[in-house]
Parts: sequence; C-alpha cells; structure tokens
Amino acid sequence: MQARIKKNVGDVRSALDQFLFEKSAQEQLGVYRFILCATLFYIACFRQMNIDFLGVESMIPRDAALNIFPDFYRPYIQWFFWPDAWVAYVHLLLITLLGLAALGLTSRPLMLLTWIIHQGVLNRNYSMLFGADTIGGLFLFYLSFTNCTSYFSLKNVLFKKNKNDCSSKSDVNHNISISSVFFRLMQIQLCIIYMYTGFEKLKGTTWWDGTALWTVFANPQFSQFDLKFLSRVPVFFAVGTFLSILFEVYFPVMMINKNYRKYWLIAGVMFHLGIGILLDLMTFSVVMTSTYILFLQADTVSSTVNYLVGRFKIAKI
Amino acid sequence: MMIVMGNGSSFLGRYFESFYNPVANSIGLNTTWNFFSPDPAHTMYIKYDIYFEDAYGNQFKEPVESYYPASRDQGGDLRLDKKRSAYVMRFLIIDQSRIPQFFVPWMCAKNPGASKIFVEVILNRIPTLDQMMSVVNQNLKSYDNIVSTEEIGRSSYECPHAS
Repeated sequence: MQARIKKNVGDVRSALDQFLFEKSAQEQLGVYRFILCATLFYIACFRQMNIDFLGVESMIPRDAALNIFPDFYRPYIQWFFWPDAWVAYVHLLLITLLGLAALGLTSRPLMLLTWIIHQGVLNRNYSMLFGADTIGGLFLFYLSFTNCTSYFSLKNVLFKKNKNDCSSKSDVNHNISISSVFFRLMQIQLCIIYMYTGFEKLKGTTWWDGTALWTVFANPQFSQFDLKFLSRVPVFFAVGTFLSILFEVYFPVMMINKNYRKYWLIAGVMFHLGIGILLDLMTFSVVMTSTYILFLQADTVSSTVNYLVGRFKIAKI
Repeated sequence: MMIVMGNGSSFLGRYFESFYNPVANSIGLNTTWNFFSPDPAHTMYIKYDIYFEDAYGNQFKEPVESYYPASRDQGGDLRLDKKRSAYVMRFLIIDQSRIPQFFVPWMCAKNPGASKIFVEVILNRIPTLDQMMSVVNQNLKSYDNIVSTEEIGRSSYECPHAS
C-alpha cells in the first residue's frame, strides 16, 4: 500500500515536473513574440502622438502618477525612471526596442528593459490605458523570461552561432526550465483573465439579463458602426450576450480538454474578430488571440508559418 | 498569486496582500479583469466653458465652449491616437473629485489667461432593449426621443493661477 502511494506521488511529481519544466515550445514562443511585440510596437507608434499625456504637460502631474492608483493597486516601484522632459526620447527608444524584439533582435535582459520602459509608460499615466496596454505589458513580462528568440528570429540569421559552443548543457537545461515555467504561466494567465472577465460580467444585471451587448453596440463611443437596426432582431443581442459569458467562463476548462480546445480557440478568434471589427478594438483582439498560439502544437505552428511564408524560407530563420 | 490577484480585493486577496502585492502591483498583475463589466457604460462626456476675466471680473476674451473628448456623444473618435481621451474622460467621471484635481488645472494651463471653468458631466442613458423594441416598429429615428440625457455633475472652478 505504502509502495503504491509512493509510486503515485512519484508519478504525479514527474508529470508536474514534465508539465512545468520540460516544455520547449520554441516555435510557439517565436511566433507569439513576433505578433505580441509587433502589436505593442504598433500601439506605441500611435502613443507617440499622445506623448503630451506622458510628459511635462500631462494632465496627471508626475508626483501624482502613482497616487492616482487606489492604495491596494498602487505599484511599489516607480518604473518611470526618466525625467518627464525626456519622455519623447525614451518612448522612441521603447518603440525601437519593441521593433527589434518583434524581429527577434533581442535578449532576455533587453526584453526586460523593454518591459520596464513599457511598464513605466503605463504607470506614468494610468488614466489613459487600453486593455491591450495592460495585458500586452503583462505578457511581455512573462515573455522576457522565455527562449522566445530561438525560432522565427532575425538574430539567428545575422549572428549564426554554433549551438554546441554557446554554453554548457546544464545552462541550456536551466534555460529551458525557466522558459518552460514562464510559457506555462502565460497559458494559465490567459485562462485566468478569461475566467475572471466572465465572472465580472455575471455581476452585471445587463449581462445576466441578456441585454449587455445591446448597450455596447448602441453606444457610439464604443461601436464603430450604427448597429441600432439590429434591434429588429433582439434575440441576436440576447444570444450574443450569453455566448460571450459562456465562452469566457468556460475557457480554462476547454483549454484543459484537448478535444474541445481547438473549437474554443476558433470560437475565440471569431469572438475577438467581432470585437475588433465592430468595436474597433483590433489591437486588443490581436493581443488576446495571439496568445492562442501558446495552446497550439509546435508542428501546427511550424507548418502554418511554412505555409504562409514558405517560398521565402523564413520559417528556417 | 495570479489566481488570487484576479480578484485581489476579495478576502483571499486581502489576506495575502503583504505577500503578493509588492510583486503583483509592480508587474501589473494586480488588476481586475473586467471588460464592459459589471455593466457596459452609457455614453458620457464632459462639457466645459472656459471664461477669461481680469482681476475686476471684466471679460477680456470670448468664453470657449467645448467638450472632452472633443467628439463627445456624436460618435466616439475611435482612432487609436484619439481614443485615449475617452479613457481619460471615464477616469475623471468615475471619481469626479479628479475633475478639480487634474482636469481643471490642466485645462487652465492649456488656456493662458483663463480665470474660471464651468464643467458639466453629461450622461446619455442608452434605452434598454425593451424600450427600443417599443419604438423599433415605428421608426428608428424615434431612438433619439428615448435616449435620456442626464447631468450627473455640474460645478464651476477657479483656475489655480487666476487668483
């Protein structure tokens, strides 16, 4: 009996070790790095036009930047280390770093620096943040601990290195373990975001009532098109409202279940495509759906990339 | 930590606050994941009038009347560089003590010579789907008649540098 318990505990431990520490996922991380950093690069380019929100003339004075956070949520570290007068240059540096990261011309320390500046920009004026800024920043943090430049990276072309002489085997294993842990953290994080988003909606009377989507689509400050004519088909809003909640609440369960995972991911792409087009939240949608790559098999990612860019042989980068 | 901090203000979040918050708050993990929830917001905007008066109360320049964000309820300006103003507007309206604290000094600084700002917070309440159903078979133009406009805040503020 004791031996059986010992064996079971050992099995669970080794399964957990394998789950947490042995997932290489270089293909998924490479493609994910490209999409996430390219999206953040795009957002940052537009934010450069709003640089007055972040500098000397900002509505939120520098000394109040952290105080406007509710006590419970206030950052302990002031990441914006630069003077306000330098913000335009620091932000240009961020744009450059994000561009380089998208191309794979980065490293873990450089990715962390990118994240610190990104987080500093977010902390400097918390009143103007998009969901894509916040979620993108969090995933950029996780990504900076992974081996995300091993695949689909220009660095591999420009600085061809001999894989045998770069570091010892234990260093390589250590690297893979850290990368694997953060890869899993990103997967779990996405599930948690969806789950809580669904739970938060259940607190609202209009979501529970099945009319929340109507309020969203009828609000010209959210909706890109005048969709009021859809009120002739009210069931559209009721079904859409409930499907949104179902999709979000059950996302973690469906990611655990390999049989249903792909259907839920396809539903997620449709869901975010709808949000992106109708509510003009395409950057948010791309930040969210790009994380789905982390749930795909490596060969699916490779073959898709090969298919998309096959004749340029970029997949070998 | 990421599970607890998704609902950070809960008992568990408060219980583990001293362990989790230093890290979670610094990396942006202590965030409530609520999009369009608990209920989607109604159309909101800030209407303001800027007055230019000298020390004797004489007006030396025509008042400026405008909206923040400038596109107000006629349809949001959803361009990525314009959209941020709408987010700032919501940040101000959620806690209206932020209007004299941040909006007024900022607006005064942007308008040299401004002495006073009159601010109104307007909410256009979107009719419920049931209300909409009652007019839908008549004419969609009737929609404008069932949108109720409410003033949820109205105050006059002296510019900090004026006095």
